[in-house]
Amino acid sequence: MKLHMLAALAVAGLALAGCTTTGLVSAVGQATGVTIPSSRALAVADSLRTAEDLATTYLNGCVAAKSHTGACAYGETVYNDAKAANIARDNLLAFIAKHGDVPLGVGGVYDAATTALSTLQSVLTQTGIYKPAANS
Amino acid sequence: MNSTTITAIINLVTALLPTLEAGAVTLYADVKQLLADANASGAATPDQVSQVQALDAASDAALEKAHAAYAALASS
Repeated sequence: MKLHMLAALAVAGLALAGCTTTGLVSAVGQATGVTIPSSRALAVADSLRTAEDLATTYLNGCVAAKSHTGACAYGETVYNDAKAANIARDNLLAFIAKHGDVPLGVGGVYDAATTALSTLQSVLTQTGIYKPAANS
Repeated sequence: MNSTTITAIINLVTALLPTLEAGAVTLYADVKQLLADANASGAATPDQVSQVQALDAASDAALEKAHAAYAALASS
C-alpha cells in the first residue's frame, strides 16, 4: 500500500515533469472549441518550410564536407523528418485553402503540423544548425 | 502509515515541486498564447496561400536534390 502510494506519486510527478505541454494545450483548445486563424496557421506552414530549408542546408553542408558520420550522421533522420513535415505542411495548407481557420485537436492538421515542426527542429538542434529562440 | 513513509512522501513531493511548478507556469503561458492566437484577427488570403505553396515546391525540390547527393555519398 505504502509502496503503491509512493509509486503513484512518482509516476504522476514524472508524467507531469516529462511531458510537453503541447498535448495539454491542444486538449484545452479542443475542449473550448478554439480555432487558429488561417494567417497564424499559414505562419506555421511557413515555419515548416524554413525548417525544411535548414534540413537542406545541413545535407548540402555534409555533402560539401564529404561526410556522413559524426555531426553528419543525422542525414537520413533529418531527411525523413523533413519529408514528414512536408506532408503535414501540405495537409495544413490544403485545409487552409479549403476551410480558412483551423480547429485545434489531437489528430487534426494543425496539431500534426506543429508536432512535425517540433520533431524536425529537435533533430536539427542535435545537428547544431538550429538554435531555438531564447524566449521559446 | 508510519512516520517514515510520511516523511518519504513529503520529501518526494518537495523534490518534485519546482518541476511541477515550472510545468504549470509553462502550461499557463502556452494556453495564454493559444487564446491570444485564437483571438487574433487575420484570415490568410488565397494569394498568400498560393505564395507559400509556390515557395514550398522550390524547397521540396532542393531537399530532394540534397538528399540524393547525401545518399550517394553515404553509399559510396
